[in-house]
Amino acid sequence: MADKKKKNSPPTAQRYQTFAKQREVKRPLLKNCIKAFLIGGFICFIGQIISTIYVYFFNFTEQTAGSPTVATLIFITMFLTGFGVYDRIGQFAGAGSAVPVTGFGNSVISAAIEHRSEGFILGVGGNIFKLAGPVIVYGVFSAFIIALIKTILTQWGGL
Amino acid sequence: MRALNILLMLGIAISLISCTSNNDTSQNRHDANFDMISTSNAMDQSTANQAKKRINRRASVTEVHAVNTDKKLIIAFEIEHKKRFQLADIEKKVQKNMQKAFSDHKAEVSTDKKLVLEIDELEEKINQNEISNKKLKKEVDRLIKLMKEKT
Repeated sequence: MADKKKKNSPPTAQRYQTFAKQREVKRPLLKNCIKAFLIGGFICFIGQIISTIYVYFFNFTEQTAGSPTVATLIFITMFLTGFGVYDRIGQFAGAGSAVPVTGFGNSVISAAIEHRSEGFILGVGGNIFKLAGPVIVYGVFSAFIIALIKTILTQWGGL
Repeated sequence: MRALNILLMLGIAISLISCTSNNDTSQNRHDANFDMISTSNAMDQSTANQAKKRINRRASVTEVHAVNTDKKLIIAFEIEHKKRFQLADIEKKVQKNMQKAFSDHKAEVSTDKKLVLEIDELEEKINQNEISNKKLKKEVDRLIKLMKEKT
């Protein structure tokens, strides 16, 4: 699609595009990937520690420790976002800090902080899921599709 | 593009290295961690001991704990880390096996770390006669409930 758009644009625009492309700063893709991998892995490592603590010292099994672990991680993220630490982690790690559940927590909480000045109902209430809304919508939607596929496979495929 | 290539190569290399099985030592060194518990007192644990022996025959098992009351038998075991991909499958097989072997008991099998810890503790208590028959039954019921919990 991008190619088609390019062909239809006037020749000066095309020339400008090639000119800009030559001078644009290249993204360090490999470096970004490694950073995201390490920081994302570290967040998951912290999650694993919390989960293990719940199994060893509280009345949770491996199966049930998942929910309190997620809650704890989001709680920690709330503080980190409020104190402005998570922004820096996000700046450094990119997708590594956005993909785990802490990224979801950050997107909810930062939206709430940002719109606080507009009031609690129309400001915080109306905007809190501004960033996290798509995650919820497509999460539910893809869960629905997967459930549909599974139902069809188990009912008719005899799996 | 170059970065992508390097990443791809790295991915392939890692998957190749990790897929080569090194089953040279672990097969021979089979010393699953399990102790027999008392069979003498009112809470006869011979069924649990038999169950442990049976499960211990599996090569991949590293730790087994089991406790029984007169009607129920609860077992928790751990397997080698690399076999954890087949965890659900192994658990199902063991559950079926145990139900067949000890048909006069209601067998419940789990591979959850929590259950391994709890049943280990319970065994210790039985060994030291720190628990009454009634309390044991209650405890076993609680653990079975814990096994069934999903969320």
